[in-house]
Amino acid sequence: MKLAVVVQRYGQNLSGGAELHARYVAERLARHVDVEVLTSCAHDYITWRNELAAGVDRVNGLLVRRFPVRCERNVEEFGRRSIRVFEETHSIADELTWLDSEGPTSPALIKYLHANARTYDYFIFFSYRYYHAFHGIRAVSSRALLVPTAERDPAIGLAIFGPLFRGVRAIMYNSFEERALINAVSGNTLVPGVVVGVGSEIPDQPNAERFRRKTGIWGPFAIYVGRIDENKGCKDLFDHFQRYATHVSYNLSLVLVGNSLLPVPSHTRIKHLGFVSDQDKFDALAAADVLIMPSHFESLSMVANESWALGRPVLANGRCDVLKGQCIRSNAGLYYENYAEFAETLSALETNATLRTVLGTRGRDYFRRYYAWPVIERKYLEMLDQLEQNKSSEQSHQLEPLPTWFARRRRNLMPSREIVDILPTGPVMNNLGQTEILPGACS
Amino acid sequence: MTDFTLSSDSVNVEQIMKEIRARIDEKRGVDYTEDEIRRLATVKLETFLDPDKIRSDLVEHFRQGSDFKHEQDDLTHNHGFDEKILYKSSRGVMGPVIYRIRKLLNPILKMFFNPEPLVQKLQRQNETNELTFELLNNLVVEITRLGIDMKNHKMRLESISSRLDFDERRARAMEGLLQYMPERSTGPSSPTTGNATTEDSEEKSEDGNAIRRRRRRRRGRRRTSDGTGEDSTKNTTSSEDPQVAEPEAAPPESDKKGDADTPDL
Repeated sequence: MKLAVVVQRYGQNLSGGAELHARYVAERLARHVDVEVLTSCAHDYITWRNELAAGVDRVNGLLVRRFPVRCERNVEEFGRRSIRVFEETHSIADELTWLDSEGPTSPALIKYLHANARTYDYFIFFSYRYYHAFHGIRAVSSRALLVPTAERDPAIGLAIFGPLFRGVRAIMYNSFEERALINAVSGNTLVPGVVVGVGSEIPDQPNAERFRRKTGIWGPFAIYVGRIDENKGCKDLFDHFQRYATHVSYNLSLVLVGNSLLPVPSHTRIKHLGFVSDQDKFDALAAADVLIMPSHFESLSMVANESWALGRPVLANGRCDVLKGQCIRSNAGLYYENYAEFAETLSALETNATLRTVLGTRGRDYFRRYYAWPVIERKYLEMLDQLEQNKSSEQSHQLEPLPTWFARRRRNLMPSREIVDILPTGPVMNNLGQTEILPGACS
Repeated sequence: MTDFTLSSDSVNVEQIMKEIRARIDEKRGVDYTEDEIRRLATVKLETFLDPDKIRSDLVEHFRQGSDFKHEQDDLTHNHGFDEKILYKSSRGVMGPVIYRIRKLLNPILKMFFNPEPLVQKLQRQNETNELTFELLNNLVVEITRLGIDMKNHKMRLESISSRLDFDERRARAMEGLLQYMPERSTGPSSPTTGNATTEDSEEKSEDGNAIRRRRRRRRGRRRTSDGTGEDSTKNTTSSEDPQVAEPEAAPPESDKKGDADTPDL
């Protein structure tokens, strides 16, 4: 069997959840089947500038085909078009123009997919919202699997994506909440889907002592790992933590790991380490008392899984359905929705070692049971087997065509933000009301 | 703060969160989210635009005005006023044609008056209106937030004042106890001076007995001097130093809620 992983960017040193997710999955599946990666020449996800050479490349032994991006993103134009489709009544044509302006616009990649549709048995597309996924799935829909990495943002409410979710052969979801969101917005319950997520490369012996010696941080601390950005909830985190440090705790520090797009407040107990190596990251997680995840929008938090893998509890933003759902299902983390809850939960985790230990233990179990690589690989391979068994249906498989020229220009679509606002919210519980759910259950 | 029902087999995060939220409610009263504050502010804004007091149809008029403005795309405040708005038409396909005709006739209009200063003033007025409305809205939100804060501070003040009362009473009791302690140490109630004969020493001796009697009473009056089981010095003991018993008094109800170890939220 020959697979193609199609993703917007690909490389060893790329930050970004979906890209890392794609690389991990590609490298793991390569142990079982023949895998190639099809991607753009872009390195920067804002401009999509062609920074890597077009053609064939190898990353960690995998063959990677890079295709040039036709034009860089015009940020102002993209912002204007985003307002049009997210906030105003608009047409399908407006949405298609928005997609083009979002990028990475790589017609060469789509042309390659058209020409080589039969070279590969299946194509696994990552990130539904980009040009490569929309046009790529339209090119090879009968062999397309999708890893949507969808969040509750206005893009999910755009009408052009409905046929995509209904028209792929299978969907590999990251979480139950993501599946519920996509089911609700597109009505694609008949499409085979499985909640998989992604594993992590957890080192055998992360060394907390090594981290403490290296950084000189000896006291208790909470940690945040990821891009330091307002979109990730870091501004609220800073506000909350400064209040907490002033009024509640005189011991706990906050350690930030990751590149900063937001000014980090100068506070004696907020320490920013910048981008660190994987070893340092895992050492830091092992040394931390608790991981804080303040993000409002997540399709799956890999760092939360890594924290649980190391037996560390998580304190998550309860406004993010996915994180809250993960905390409840795993019984391995607490969540907050305002400062009072933040202070109370963080104080509980700081002062109650038993609570930390119990939650950490549950987190470790949860990770081993659902996010260890053998589990993830098995789910992918089972889905591919299932599709192989139904290969006869491949011929009859068709994606809904785009509307006619006039219909595409009819301005009768609701602002996508309004559509997202009326979608069901909250963490997904199983029907029996139990707190544990098997993520492997196929729909 | 940290007492949760925990065991590695049966930890339930939802239960823990319920307990945490109950504690927050207990300590601070109801906590409002940002959305709730905005909803409250909307209610306040409507109260502010009270139809009975200002104008019977003001709120309705304002809303209709907003809808009307929304429908008339050219007049939405997002676009502001400019010269084009005066000549534009919303008659579909004919709109651009009418626009051109009006533009062509513009020089004739300018023979009577110049519309440009008018457009500029209207544009400025439009911006001012937007700012005023936004300011008013933000002020109401802020007032609502302050109102909630004030209510919480009142509750907190009540809690602190009752705690202060309790501490003052306890301090008085401790002072009384301290005044009493030196007398006992310097008095003749030591075993060597048990048979003192002066009046002063008799009083002190009586004090010394009072201490012993008090101790006996706390142990449940197991022994009395005459063996009848009655405490002949009962009245004396209670009237001599009524403050001594005060430290055993329970703290006021509001203090039970406050926990010295809990975070200062």
